[in-house]
Amino acid sequence: MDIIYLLKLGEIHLKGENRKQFIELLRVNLRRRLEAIPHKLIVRDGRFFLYAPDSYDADVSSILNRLPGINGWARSKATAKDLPAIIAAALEVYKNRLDQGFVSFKVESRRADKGFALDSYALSRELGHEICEKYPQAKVDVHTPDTVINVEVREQVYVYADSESGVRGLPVGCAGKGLLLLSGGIDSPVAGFHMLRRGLALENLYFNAYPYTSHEAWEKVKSLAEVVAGYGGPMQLHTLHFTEIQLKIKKDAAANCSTLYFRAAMMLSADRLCKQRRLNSIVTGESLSQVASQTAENMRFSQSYTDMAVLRPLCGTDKEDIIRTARKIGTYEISILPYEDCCVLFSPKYPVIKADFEQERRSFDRLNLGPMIEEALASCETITVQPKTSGCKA
Amino acid sequence: MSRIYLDWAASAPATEAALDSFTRIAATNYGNPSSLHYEGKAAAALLSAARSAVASSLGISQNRVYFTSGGTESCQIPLLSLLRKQHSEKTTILVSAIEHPAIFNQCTVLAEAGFTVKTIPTTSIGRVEAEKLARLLDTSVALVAIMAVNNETGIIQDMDTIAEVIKNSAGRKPFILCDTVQTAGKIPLNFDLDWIDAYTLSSHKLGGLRGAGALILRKPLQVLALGGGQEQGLRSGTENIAAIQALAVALAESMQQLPQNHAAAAALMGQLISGLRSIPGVCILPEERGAKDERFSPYIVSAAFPGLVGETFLRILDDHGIAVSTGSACSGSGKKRRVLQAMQVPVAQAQSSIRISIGSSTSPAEIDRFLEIAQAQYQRYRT
Repeated sequence: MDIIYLLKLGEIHLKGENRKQFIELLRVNLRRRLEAIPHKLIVRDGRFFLYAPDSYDADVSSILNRLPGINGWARSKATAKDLPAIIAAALEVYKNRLDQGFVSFKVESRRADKGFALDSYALSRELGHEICEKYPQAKVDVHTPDTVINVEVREQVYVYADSESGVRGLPVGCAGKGLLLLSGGIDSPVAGFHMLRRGLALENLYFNAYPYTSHEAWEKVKSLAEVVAGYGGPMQLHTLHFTEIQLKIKKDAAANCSTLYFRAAMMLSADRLCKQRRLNSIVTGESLSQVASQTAENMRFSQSYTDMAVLRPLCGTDKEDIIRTARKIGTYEISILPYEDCCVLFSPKYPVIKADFEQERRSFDRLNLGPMIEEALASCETITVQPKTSGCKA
Repeated sequence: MSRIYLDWAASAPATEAALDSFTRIAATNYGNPSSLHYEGKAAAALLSAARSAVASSLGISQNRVYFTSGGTESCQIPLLSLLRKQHSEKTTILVSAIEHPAIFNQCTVLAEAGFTVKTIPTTSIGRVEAEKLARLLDTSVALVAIMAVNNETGIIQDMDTIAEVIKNSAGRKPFILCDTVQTAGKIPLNFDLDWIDAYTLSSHKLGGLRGAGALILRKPLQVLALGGGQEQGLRSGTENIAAIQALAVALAESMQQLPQNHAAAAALMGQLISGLRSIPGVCILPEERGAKDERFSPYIVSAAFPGLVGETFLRILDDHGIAVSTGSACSGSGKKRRVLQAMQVPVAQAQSSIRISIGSSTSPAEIDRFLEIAQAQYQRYRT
């Protein structure tokens, strides 16, 4: 038995003459995500109608809850355009909600088919009357109802009540593809999620410092990437071996600059990789003033080693908000696993807070890390990470 | 090339005889020793034989031997028995600063239940300070826990001095819990001392199988965890006959071979410590430990490799086929080195320490190879 899912677009509606392209991209993204599920997807008048067997409801829900580009979705009944059938559907939908404890209601009808006998107001009134007749405990409340019974008269009539919220935003890929600097911390996966929602597809870059960091730290990053992939589909995870570079920085740079220079080396590497792979931006989880390396002066320094757009979606957010999002998207519990991706020996006790731009540029350039970075890039290891959606609800 | 296993203090390979005994009994004796039929009685007979063998190996009477699931449970039982019968005046527990987590961490439960838990400080080599112990011993002390041999550094407590302090203390002697998990079968010790109320054994540390241990008690206890009443009510639960028999076999072997094993270990440890000291930068923990120092177990040593975090060095050595550990294998993922910090080892040194522990089949060639690799990799990776 098929369930009909109605998807509600949001921001796409604002795209004016480009709307069609966004809709098409959303359609393509959704079809890809639903590959393993027998389904039918109809896009009509900017509306998405998805049919899938009810045995796949959990999987479909999971995908729809994580699909950038839709504001929400609902499981709908579909009937022919005759009043008794519509009434029957409305009664069933209300009964489901009543069983869930929702008593007061309102009916909202929309007529895409202006040829239908009853206008929206009359239809709502009729259905409201029938519901109250059948269920004496039902109450109409047009201001703050417990539940809204939605009726859309199109080529069929769609009746639905509870709708789930979506992640909103724009279809992944409409903004091109960027490179997320992914670590095992709380912030970078959340940054990735935010950018996916803005339509930026992602590849990921992790800087590995084995044996100073463990295999478990890498596994943790892979697990995080799998959760983020739940929102954007399969993604590449590139791992650069940065051990020698970290050692060189530790050995040849001033102690208080080790983290700063490490970030610069990361940006330099990310810049190269973006250009190699034709990606259009670098995404980081930096948040202003969160830690010593994340001051405006230090960011100016590190980002001076790339001319790519550096997107920092968390720049103006605080840790509590970031953690809240991390819990919501399912990355928090993984991020707090105790596998560090930076050895304590590489973190200075008194890190430089406000890099003197000219001075630090000169000092960093003297390290001449370019050849070592090229070497690291040449032996970059890449895997494709598949979406993992079990155990978390968006 | 086969791996070099230097983590015997965490777990030792089972001896051939113990494994043979275990496999045979596990396959053929499935009866429950509490059952009254033929199979049950056969199992009960094996249990009795194991008890007798353990008692004989330790030179004590059988009625002092109780079988448990391992060293941790053996440590927990006496501690938790304090909750069973709380004395209004005996409300203090003294625990050495270097005690194993099975005892140290268990005390947090007792603290929550209203006991005052006090730590007995140690000297920089890890020995309990006799004067400080004497000052702490007042009439409110219900239990004192001091391990005979420490699992991280190998320090052996000065049992005679501790005995003196305890015997001279005022009031009724408290319950003395002596964790002997790293002692039994390795270091000569009298298991019949009149001032020690409980000793603990762990099968898999001395060549038996995991899942069995023993608690040697001077007198029976009223325990917290009740059930079917096995082991005279001390440790309920169907007895793990196969593992218990393997414990008895392994203990008998190790007690019999103790003098020669001990001598061989002392020679190996001398070789190891001298070799470690010849690696520039490496420090033995504590520094005062001599190459052949009878104050320490010849089976265990901690060494610091400054400039390299212990876990990092562990990974590097593991990649080169060598197994060592950082601190106690039971300490989980915590970075704190409580035992070393109690010995006033600086944090940076403590964090860069590894524990190397040897056993009956460790060879001089393995020690040499370990030293060669440790030196090369330390030079390569130290920051």
